[in-house]
Amino acid sequence: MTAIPNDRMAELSQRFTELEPELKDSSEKEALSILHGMIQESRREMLAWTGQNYSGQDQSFEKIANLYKSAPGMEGPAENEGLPVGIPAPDFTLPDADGNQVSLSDFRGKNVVLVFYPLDWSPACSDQLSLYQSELPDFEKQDAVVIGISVDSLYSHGAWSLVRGITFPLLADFHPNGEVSKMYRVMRKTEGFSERALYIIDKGGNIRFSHVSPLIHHIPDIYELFEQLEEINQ
Amino acid sequence: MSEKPVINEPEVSNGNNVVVYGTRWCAATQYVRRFLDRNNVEHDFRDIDRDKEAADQVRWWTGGYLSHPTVKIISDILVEPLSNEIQQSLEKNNLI
Repeated sequence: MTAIPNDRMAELSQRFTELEPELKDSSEKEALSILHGMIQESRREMLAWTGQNYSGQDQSFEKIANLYKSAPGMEGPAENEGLPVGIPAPDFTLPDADGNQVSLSDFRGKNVVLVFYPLDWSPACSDQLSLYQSELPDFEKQDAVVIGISVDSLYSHGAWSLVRGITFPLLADFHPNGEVSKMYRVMRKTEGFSERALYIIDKGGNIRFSHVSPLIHHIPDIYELFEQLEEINQ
Repeated sequence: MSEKPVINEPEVSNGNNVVVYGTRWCAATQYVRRFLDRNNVEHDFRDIDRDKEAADQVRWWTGGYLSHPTVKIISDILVEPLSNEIQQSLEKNNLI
């Protein structure tokens, strides 16, 4: 008998879903839609309060981790095209969050996914780097390492990577400001931070793939990224 | 990586019990699709940039917002869900 309420909810939910194309746009339709949205959010809050959805993390820590969701948006078209494929990737040395000096040439013999992103703590960047963190085993299968670069300081990188659970290197292109971003032709001069850009550098140190997001809040398609890596490894 | 213009192009649905409504450029949508892949959960992807019917459906569920990703698991509608919310729904519906 305990399954009955769930079955009923499932049936009601299905009927609600199927009604959408049958209703013309109107205030009444909008009101019903808002009500459905409110029910969804109430259910979610209730699950959180009853502990079924509680992550176990300290709540203030979680608030900081979720700050990006309410942070001011970042949008705008790309200003740069980036470096072309087929040339040697310029070498550089930058500090990571622990103050270690990291050079691109340290990774010779591995494929390198070089991720230029605008800023720590900003909305789309938070999701992008968490996505790559969750994909690290698959990057390893492609014999690839992921390196993030932004103009933030190493101290910001340290706090941000801790909060987001990021374990791959984040390099600070902080001083001279954006020097490596400029070298890779992805510096947004009007804003002082980089484009959202990806380079794949092969085991011999050559640029095999180059992509600058046409809109700065757009994240490159992860499926296409892995297709590129597979092609490079063939 | 190409980014295609906005057009009304409903995608073929394979009739899966799990449908991800989102965009190809959204990291959270990509995260959900890859999460389902890793858990061997078959799913359809509806690109709300290209598929007006899918976009209308999302607005209907969310009070007018084009929230992405929105994930339909059997009859559960999950708006911009956390991975543990997806996990719970998949378990409840015996999909993992």
